[in-house]
Amino acid sequence: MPLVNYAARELTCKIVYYGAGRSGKTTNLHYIYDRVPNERRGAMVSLATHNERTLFFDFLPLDLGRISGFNTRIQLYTVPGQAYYRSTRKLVLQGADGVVFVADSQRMQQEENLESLRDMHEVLAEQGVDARTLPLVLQYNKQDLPGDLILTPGELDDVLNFRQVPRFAADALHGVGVFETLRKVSQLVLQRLSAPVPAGIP
Amino acid sequence: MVEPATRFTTLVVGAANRLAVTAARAVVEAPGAIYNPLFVHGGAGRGKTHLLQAIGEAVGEMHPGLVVEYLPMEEFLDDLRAASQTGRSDAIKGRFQRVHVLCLDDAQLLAGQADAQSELLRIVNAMQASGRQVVMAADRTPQDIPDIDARLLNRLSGGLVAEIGAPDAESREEILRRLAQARGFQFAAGVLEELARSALSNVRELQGALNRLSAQQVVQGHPLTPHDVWQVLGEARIPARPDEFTTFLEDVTSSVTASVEAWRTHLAERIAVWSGLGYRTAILEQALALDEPPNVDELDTAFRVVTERLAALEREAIRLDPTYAGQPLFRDPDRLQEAEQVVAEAAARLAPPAGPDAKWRLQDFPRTAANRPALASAQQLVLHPARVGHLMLVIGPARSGKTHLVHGIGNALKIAANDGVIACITADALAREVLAAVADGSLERWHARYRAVQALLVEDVQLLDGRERVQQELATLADALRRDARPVVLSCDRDVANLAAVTPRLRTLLESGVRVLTAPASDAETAGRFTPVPEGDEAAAPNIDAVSEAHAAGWRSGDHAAEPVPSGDAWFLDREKVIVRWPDLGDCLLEDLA
Repeated sequence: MPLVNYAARELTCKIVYYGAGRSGKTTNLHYIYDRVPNERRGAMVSLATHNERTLFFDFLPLDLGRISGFNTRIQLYTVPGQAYYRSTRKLVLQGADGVVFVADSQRMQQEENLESLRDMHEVLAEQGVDARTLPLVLQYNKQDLPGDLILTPGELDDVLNFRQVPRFAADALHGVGVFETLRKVSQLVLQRLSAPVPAGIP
Repeated sequence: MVEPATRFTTLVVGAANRLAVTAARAVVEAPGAIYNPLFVHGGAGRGKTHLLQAIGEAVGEMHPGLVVEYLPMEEFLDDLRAASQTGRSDAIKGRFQRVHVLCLDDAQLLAGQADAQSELLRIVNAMQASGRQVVMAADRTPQDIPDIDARLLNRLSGGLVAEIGAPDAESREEILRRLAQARGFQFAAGVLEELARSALSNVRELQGALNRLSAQQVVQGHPLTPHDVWQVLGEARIPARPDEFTTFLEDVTSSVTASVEAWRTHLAERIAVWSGLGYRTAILEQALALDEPPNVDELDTAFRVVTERLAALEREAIRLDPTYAGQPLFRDPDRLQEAEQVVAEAAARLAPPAGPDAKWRLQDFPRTAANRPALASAQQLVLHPARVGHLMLVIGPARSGKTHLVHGIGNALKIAANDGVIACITADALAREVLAAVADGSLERWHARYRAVQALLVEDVQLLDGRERVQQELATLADALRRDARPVVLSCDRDVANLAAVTPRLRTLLESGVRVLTAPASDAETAGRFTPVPEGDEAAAPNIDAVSEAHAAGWRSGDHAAEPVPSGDAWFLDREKVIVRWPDLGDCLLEDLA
């Protein structure tokens, strides 16, 4: 669940961009970074090393200001896609409120897409998270490439979207579908806030 | 009649202003009761003034007796300044004393106005203390007003602070539609929708854009298309179309407003509903001020359960005593326990009075020669209890059977009335009840309790000698019962003339009734002059009496041979124990006093 501090009137969401290496996760964040006003964004950081373990991810904090009396922040993360950074992916995915799975639309990358999607479900399962309850949006990136190199969104649905979650065709390099994806995953994350609170009733 | 533009009905309600509007409606329902003060804030052109004036309009309609004043802060400051310069500060103080609902607009102008803040604090304190409503509007929260006095900030934040945000696309479209309709503008399909997609974030900007479109349409002589909208308005003359981040931010704002504070809006709506039904909603209002969201549905359900219990208690209280109708106690869930107690006490007070002791049966009353007139009168009374004006005064010394006769009459009446309520009480106990009721102000309920009985029997009224107030209440009660054709039986150990201090009214009452005398039975008489009716056959009493009456009629006519011989009652067969020259009781002893 998004972190809501009612006493301090703060709302913080963590959204993770997941996907195979070179699928376009960081490109998404760069595009967003470029379009967010300076006063609304923090420094986009990449952490390289920490305690002799390799950490490698992008982090972009967005300060959306006061909304309905809440200081609202959205933290965007990417995970390293390469297979050998699994422990880092696991670390980054921990506590995620929503996930954008960025898939490379190229035909030859489908094995990597599937492997990464499987990996994501495994990591979530290891963390005790039911993937069916976690807000998830698929982004079919690189749809700008020649048609003979890529799968159409429909074909990608057959391969990846077995849960029929919201998905967007995108060209992250030029920004097509980037904010649409972010808007949808944010909406899904925030909608969970209105779920009834079962305990703590005075 | 032209409908004022500033009504609730002309306000477009969306996610951005739902909380503020709901709170405003609650204020209208019960000014001063909740959200006092109500502080709404939001950017220019978001409808704050509209909302304040709508509150004023609605309060005026719903509560015509209340004085409502809408006052822009600038005017308030001017008045204050003028009063100060002319040395008439008291005038401004007195001005708001008669106002029940004060709506102050543009509260941000208080910034840096120390004197005005001080005066306003005094006004708000006075209005709150006397249950009057204060509503304020500003373009920022109370905390964001520069140099605001801490005590005033505390006051303004102590009620409900509700934000009016920028209208979302749906609200913008509805606003445009209403503005166009109000001005008689006609546009082609899609034009208003296209304009609603703009970043125009307040009503005034939307109105300006609408006016320009309408003017252009008139000039060019044919309807504009959606494609024309931005060409007409021009990029330089309208805000730039929202960029991707702005659109994203709007979406997030809508989601946060709809999700994070949804519980508050929902709860405020429930409070408005319950307030509208007349219930005090302090419990729910406390929840509204919580930092963390409670389960609103559970709270509402719990509140409903309490109100249902209160309604049941009120119904029961009214049944017991109609004066309980509409008491605030039954509209305050905080006072449920008190309501339970009040009804329990009322029920105890209004429980049927004590009845006759079942061991004294009329058929067992010693039928001695001296008692026979009394018994015959008693039989008449039991046979005709509905005879208007029935009042019997049983007079006899101690141990003459007065108690037996009075309780026996009571038991026979109880049977005749199908187990109806018969009050049988000693005068001493009656006096204690009356004096207690006088002391706690429940005399009316005491009368109601006794007015419900089928018959009233009071023993030893000589004990009321000198107790004027009790005599007065007894006389009032007896008169009322007799008017309703319900018998009253009193017993006394002496003749009325021998009572020393009796009010004229009671004396008249006592003297107006049928007086019967009882005398102690001798041993010989009690040994063989009556045959008790078998135990468990109390219902036979009226039959015996009826037979007795017929029997007496036979003797009166002298037709002894025609006298029926009742079976099963030895008393009637024992002729030598019957006085032959028995007077006609119907003529001599029973007087219809009505």
